[in-house]
Amino acid sequence: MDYILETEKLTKVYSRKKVVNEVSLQINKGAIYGLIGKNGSGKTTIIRMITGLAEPTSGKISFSKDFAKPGMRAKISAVIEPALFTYMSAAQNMETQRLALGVRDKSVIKRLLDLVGLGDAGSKKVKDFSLGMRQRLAIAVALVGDPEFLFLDEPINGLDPIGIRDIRDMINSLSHENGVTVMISSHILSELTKVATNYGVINSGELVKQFSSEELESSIKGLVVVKVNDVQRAVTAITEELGLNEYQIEENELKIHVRDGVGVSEINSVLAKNDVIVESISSNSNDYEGYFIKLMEGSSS
Amino acid sequence: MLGLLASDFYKLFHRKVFYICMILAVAFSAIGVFTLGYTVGAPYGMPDLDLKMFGYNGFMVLTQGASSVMLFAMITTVLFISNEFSNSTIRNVLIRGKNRFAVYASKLIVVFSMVTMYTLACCGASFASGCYLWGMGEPKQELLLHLAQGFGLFLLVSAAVYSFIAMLAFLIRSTGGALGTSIAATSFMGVILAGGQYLLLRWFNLKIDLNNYWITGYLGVNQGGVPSSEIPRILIVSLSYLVFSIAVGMITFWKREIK
Repeated sequence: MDYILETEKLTKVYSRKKVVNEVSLQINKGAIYGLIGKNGSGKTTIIRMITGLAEPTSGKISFSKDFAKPGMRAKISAVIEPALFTYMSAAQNMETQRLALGVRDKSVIKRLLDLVGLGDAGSKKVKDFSLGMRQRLAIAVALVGDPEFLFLDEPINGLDPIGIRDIRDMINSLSHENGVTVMISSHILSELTKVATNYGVINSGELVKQFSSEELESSIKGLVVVKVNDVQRAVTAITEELGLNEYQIEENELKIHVRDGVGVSEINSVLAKNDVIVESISSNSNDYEGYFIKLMEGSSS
Repeated sequence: MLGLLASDFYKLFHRKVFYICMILAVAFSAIGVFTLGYTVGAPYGMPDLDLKMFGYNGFMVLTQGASSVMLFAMITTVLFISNEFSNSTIRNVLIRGKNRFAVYASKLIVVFSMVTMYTLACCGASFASGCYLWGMGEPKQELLLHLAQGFGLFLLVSAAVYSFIAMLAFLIRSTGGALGTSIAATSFMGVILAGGQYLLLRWFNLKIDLNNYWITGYLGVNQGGVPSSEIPRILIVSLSYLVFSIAVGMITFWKREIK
């Protein structure tokens, strides 16, 4: 597999406490990797170790051979909380990074400020920026020098819905149009599932599971939740007439795992035909949150 | 490294504190020359003493302005370095693979340059004030050599002092803490050294002038007139502080994590 990054048993201990415990993850080139976990689960520490800000207590971090070439380390970038000079304007913050990285093209500043939606705020001092604007500017600073691997730690924290959408579009565009590999850590699952192609679920410093978006889809797809007056009669109807044998019963609620070709309307009509009163019926195919929570709770128990 | 230097100079020149401290240091240099007649004459009951009759001129007070640099350059140094940690902006270059030694060296070069700029500006102010009050005078070779020696030693001692302050800023990483420690180190060290001398004499019967080994004590060399017998000790003490501060600062910056 063409991994751009691989960690092997990555561990970090602070004051005898294992904050990150033997995390072995792999990120494919061009992927948008979502690192999901609760606050304090070790996501930021993993990113800090990978980006060289913290030394692992044990374990190994390997980048692909491309990054071993001279100067290629500058192609790895990250935003771990907005790190900006508040006394400078947005454009001046960009200029400090442009100079530090030796980027000759001065137009990069305007291009990137436009990209993150701060084209009109270039001369405004950062101290007058909202949290969302600072987040956008930090991303623009991180994009100076055209990084090929970008780490974003909780990038949508503090953003309004439009800001969240803009950042999501930007990440998609960076990945699809520029081929940038992105690792995003977040605890906002609904947003992560809109961009990520791969996931790593982390809980209490341990990597619980890694999977692709396709694997995620197939794990949660085809779940229909029905609330009925007679659960036993409903079970008989769907097993005998539709051949659906995978289900869970919770009081008067029935969670049915459906197969292709069977959906809400088929189940509803079969139940009606068998005189089962349907109080509510819904397709639960977007229950990512439930899936992730189950994974995290499963690892804790 | 050149990129880091360009970026660090850009940051320095866009800080208001750089200009405010320079203006204040220059103002104090000029005030120091304008009040020199009073300072020299008042103890003798001659507050309006005209120093021209003692041969004072612009060249004679040329390097006196450097005495005003200390506090203002210290403030600028601490704010310039610790701000990178308090805003976490130091991360922006380290994440991009910049060598930590290079990052440290770049900051140190910018600090040395800033101190040199302050020193030159203050010397310019004291020279201009001296010229205004007593005329420029003749640049006699003996006087110029005397001033050049004092100025050269002052720059070396300054490099040692500000590498020490830069080390404190890199170690402490918070603006208030680093500034407080630097001011305390320069203000109260005299008292601590006097106490040390007393204890050495009392307990071990050793008579040592510890002030000879505390670097800020040599910042007065800009006045010139340093006896040639003292020069080797000034050189050794300055170089020792310089090497010690750079080594400790760089190694701890290399080892410690960045938040």
